[in-house]
Amino acid sequence: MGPEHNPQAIRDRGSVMPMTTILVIFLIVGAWSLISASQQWAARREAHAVAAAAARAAAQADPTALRSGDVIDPNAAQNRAQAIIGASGYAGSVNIDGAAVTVSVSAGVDYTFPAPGFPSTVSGSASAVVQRGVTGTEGG
Amino acid sequence: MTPQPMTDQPTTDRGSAGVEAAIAVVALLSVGFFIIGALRVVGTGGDVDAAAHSAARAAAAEYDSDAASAAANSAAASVLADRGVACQSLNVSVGGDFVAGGLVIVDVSCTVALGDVVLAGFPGSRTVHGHGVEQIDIVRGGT
Repeated sequence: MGPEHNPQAIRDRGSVMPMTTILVIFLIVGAWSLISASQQWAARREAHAVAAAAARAAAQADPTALRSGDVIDPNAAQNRAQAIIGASGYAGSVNIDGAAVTVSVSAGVDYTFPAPGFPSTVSGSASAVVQRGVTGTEGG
Repeated sequence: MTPQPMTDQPTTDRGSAGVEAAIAVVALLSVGFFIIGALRVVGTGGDVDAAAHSAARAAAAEYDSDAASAAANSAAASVLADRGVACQSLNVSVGGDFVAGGLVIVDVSCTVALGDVVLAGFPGSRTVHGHGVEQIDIVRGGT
């Protein structure tokens, strides 16, 4: 062994550990963002599903309103939609335009790990249109 | 260059690569198992929520609570089966008023098996919950 072997040994020493550490850190950051994004996506789907249920509940022909030429009673429809949103544990807004009901629900995201940069609330919206009669054509 | 480092070198280097590789493999496996377990829990949570919404819709179309309970169980099991979710135990509870315009509330809980990823620090299993609310038709109603 000559003195020229020495630099070689120094360059080799500890080469596995830093590489593994960097790889593990990358994997942890990747897992963190994947899990946070999945939780955000799940909350978005949940908000959308609640909005769809609320819009369906609101867009129902009201027997009393039908007699006066309307299809839905806006106040009753609003209450029905808010009952669904409230029972699901969220807050939202209901917009009624003629026979169309649009519901927007905002839901807080419950991240397992602290997620700076990810939104703390997401929103989902859905619309439903009420039609007269069973097939939607009865009585015009 | 003194001869001192040259005599030290072989003893400090010897055998360290094997130990480092062992630590590295265990660390990588732990992270891998953690990712598998965490995504299984998060993914099942979304599927169970979807199952609860479907079960609530099925239950709201029935006329009494027994039929609603049967419909909710069957809808939830079918949604979870379609999505390839295997629950160790599946529990579907149906509540609410079966009257015209009443709310049907369905809670679905599913126990996710985590026995194969215990290495990453997970418990043997974890229960995830889903919640679905649907309104019974205001004209047709229940009993």
